[in-house]
Amino acid sequence: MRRLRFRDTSGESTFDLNLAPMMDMMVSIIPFMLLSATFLQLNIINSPLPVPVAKALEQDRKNKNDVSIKVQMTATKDFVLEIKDEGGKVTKLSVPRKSASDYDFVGFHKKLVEIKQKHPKVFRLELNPDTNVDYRAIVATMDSSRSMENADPKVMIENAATPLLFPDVILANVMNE
Amino acid sequence: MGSLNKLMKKPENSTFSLQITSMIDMFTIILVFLLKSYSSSSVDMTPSKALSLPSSTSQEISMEALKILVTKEAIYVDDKEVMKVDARATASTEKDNLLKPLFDALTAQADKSKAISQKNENVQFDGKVIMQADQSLNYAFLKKVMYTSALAGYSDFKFAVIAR
Repeated sequence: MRRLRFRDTSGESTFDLNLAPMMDMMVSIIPFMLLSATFLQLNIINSPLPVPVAKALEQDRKNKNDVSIKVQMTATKDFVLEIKDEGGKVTKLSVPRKSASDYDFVGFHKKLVEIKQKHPKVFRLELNPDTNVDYRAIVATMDSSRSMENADPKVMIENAATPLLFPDVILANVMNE
Repeated sequence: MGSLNKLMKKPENSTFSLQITSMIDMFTIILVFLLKSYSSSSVDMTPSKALSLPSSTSQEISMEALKILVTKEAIYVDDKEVMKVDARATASTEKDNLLKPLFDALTAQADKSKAISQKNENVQFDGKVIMQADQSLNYAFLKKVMYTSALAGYSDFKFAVIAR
């Protein structure tokens, strides 16, 4: 008899889950998330430097290096490089424009790699843009001078190849009147 | 007779249960996607519609600092407009590098930061400033902004760029 009653009360094994509260929650959360979501993703790649390169970079930042590299960006879209070595000898190089409207960033990068081969422990570059140079060109120059590319010849510091070219780009003429 | 039976028939229940399972599925997918793209970073740097930032290969992540927004029309410090940009300010021939309204706004910010750093040891005034500038602006004008910032105590410039 008991067994029979048990069978009666069990009823149907399926039931409708009430999803309305869940819907309410979703409808509240989704507009909030949509408002605060950032669709522009900023990434970072951690790539520690080899020890000799890191040491040389630190030393250069402490201004213990007598070599200075100055780059002038002219309004006529040319780069003029001025390298002062340890002995105080100044060498001037130039990278002519690619076209009337654009700088030759590839040629400039190649020239910087050549300089880096001669002065591997220098990481600072003084940039002096002319007043008519636009901000886009300045950023592109900083990009060209920041790091080595895969196709570039390897520059060794002690026994480690440096991935950096001239990462410390300084706008040297900001305080000039 | 048939039609009479139809009329006499008890009317069917007018309410019905809406089938929302598929809608919940959809919302769950959207929620997961939004949670993945949600940024929990404390640095709030939203590109403004009034300017187009240059793109760069730089991979350094942005940090907490005072924000200067330089568009072709105006200069903003921490999202507050401090001065309008006129042809005189952007002219490369104009020798006066100091932009007075910007200098006043930055000095006020620097004083505020220094006052906080005196009260709170954990806060240090480091003179860092993130500059968001339109890519078509000339260096003459940017130089004025940087010159003015440096005089106000903000000499550690960070240029905001769009990652390429």
